[in-house]
Amino acid sequence: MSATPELIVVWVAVIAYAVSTGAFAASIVLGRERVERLAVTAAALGALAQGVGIALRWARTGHGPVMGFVELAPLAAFFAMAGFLVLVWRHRGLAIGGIGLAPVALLIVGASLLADRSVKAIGPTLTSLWLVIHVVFANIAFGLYSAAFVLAVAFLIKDAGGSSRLIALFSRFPEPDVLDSLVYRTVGAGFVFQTVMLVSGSIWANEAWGRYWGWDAIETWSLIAWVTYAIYLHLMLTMGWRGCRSAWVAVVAMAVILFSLVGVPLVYHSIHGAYLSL
Amino acid sequence: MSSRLKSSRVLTRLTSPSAAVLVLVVLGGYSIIAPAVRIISPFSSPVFLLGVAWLTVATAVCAWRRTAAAVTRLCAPDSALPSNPSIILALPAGLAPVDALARARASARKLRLRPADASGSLVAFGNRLGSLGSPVFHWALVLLFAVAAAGQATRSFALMDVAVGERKPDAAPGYIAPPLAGPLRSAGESGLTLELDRIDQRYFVDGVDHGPVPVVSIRDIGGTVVARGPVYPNSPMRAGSLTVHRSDVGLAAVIHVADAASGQVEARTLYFPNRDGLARPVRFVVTTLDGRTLRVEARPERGRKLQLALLEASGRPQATWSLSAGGADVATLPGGIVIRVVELTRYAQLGLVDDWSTPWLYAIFALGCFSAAVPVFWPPRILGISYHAEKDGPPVLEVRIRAAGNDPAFAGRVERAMAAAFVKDEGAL
Repeated sequence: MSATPELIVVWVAVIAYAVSTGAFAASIVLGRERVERLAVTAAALGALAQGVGIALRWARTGHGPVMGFVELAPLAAFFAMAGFLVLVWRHRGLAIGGIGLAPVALLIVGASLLADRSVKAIGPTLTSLWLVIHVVFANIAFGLYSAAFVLAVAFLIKDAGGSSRLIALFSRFPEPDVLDSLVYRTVGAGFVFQTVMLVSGSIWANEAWGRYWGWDAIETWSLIAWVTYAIYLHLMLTMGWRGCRSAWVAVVAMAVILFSLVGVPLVYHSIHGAYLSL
Repeated sequence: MSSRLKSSRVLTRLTSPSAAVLVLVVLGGYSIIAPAVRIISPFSSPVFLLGVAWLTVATAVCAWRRTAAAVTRLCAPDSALPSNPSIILALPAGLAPVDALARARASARKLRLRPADASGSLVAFGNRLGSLGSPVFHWALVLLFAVAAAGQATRSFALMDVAVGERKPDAAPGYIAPPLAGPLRSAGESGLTLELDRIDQRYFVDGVDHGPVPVVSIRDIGGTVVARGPVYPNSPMRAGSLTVHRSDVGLAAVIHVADAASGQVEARTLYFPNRDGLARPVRFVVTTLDGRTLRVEARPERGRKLQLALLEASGRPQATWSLSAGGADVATLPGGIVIRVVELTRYAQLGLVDDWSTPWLYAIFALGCFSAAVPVFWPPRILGISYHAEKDGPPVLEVRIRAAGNDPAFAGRVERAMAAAFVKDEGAL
């Protein structure tokens, strides 16, 4: 199969995300709900095109989106956008949060067009069903945690009160107690998927390398990120933290998981590094 | 204060959630810093293991408390409800308590909650068994800590070189180096024997070439084959607690070392380490009948030949021979030692992991994932609904709600459903 249809749909995604970013910005300036609806529709179209692009590349390469920046980063953006759209579908007032996500998705998918798009041969170690489970669940977890981060930031802004333009921007967001609950539920779902990611990675490592845990830099940081979210859940459920304090923990936890996904391969020498390389 | 009371307080503090969070933060910090400052084996150091042991105890205590709370919630759901009502709904005047609770029961059913009558009130459950998710998850974590620790303590990992057609027992003399064994590993051997049937140069699975792939047989103590098949990445071979992985494949030579004086012939297999696709030389020692030690280096050559070099004490070659495999040419060393190359073949380096805990860990993993998912995707919910008639006002319906994460959206749905049940027929009353 030629790479052309795949490139066309990736370009469609880039254009859709660009329209979405512009429309979100315009909806903030103009305060028009119709423009906001256009932004959400464009974001959904971008996610759809991205999904088709991922499927086409999967069919062309013969393996899932698991090798290098060109496959992994857009997959993370796709799941983050999908998570956002699900949230907007359930809570219409959250739509304006797309102003934080659409430009990031635009940058990631745009950068993937500039990155090396050649097909990286999948080695024998990577030919495992566990790899697909591991990567897909990692991305779902990341998408949910990203959504939780956006909700936590929205909570903090809304909870701060006042009458600034920024606060007014978030006026359509649900009430703080609903946001607080949404952060908790989104983190809870992300935690389950991250647990599956860790477990599937561990089983796969045992099948491939003969050990299920080796304290590799990425393994260690993934565990630290998991523990950080476990701490968040315990602070919420066991110690009764609510509101600003727990929202701040969700914000800090996002920094930890971002570093474990993006920063660790750049900073540490890791056995995972080859798969996550640019 | 009695010592018993003191120790009880200390235990409570040590296993408190705040202490567990503190230990987790310290362990996380240690996990980041220790490799950076090059602490040797940071994750088997006493400091780290003590922290993990602490967490295990704290998790067990937490699991116990959660189990007690979940059982209470299952047996006496009223006790889990908050004391203050979340919703107070004014009812139409004249509505009898029985009718009010009947309507509330119908509304609860619409919310997919199972109503049950309590004394003068109504209790409704949703996803009742979801209460057990959290305790089961915590017990799974405790089991994971315990089984992983026991597995690591009794685990053994070794590398073994096996040439095509060769059989080797799974025992220390056959290993390349002393096995990496846990502190509680007994010296007992598995009694299994490994045999390398052949090496397939190319081996395709789903279009991916995994070759060269060793085809291995594992025999029990009676010689019966208990497992046989190709061993390649992501497809190890298992026999009981033993897992066999492919580590490497390389060239091997079978030589005969004969002592001309005694007529004794010793067969030896030389395994040439494979580095960057090149077979590296192997050095070995031959002892003559008069007790002299000769150091010999063997190196594969093109054309199915083996180059032998007798080495000086300094390591420089003193004399060299080029021998054909299976040929008649021999290398005659001082002291009447004669070396002949019987065959040049291939060998597989196999990683042998003896760990009984792996299948148990997999089962605990599955239990952990499932039990973590239950309270998130099927959260337990309890409603306590009671009718109160005030002297000078209309009767009210008080609804107390317990939902994971204090979900306000659920509270909103309950309020709307309850209100709809009474508003709908208000005119008829």
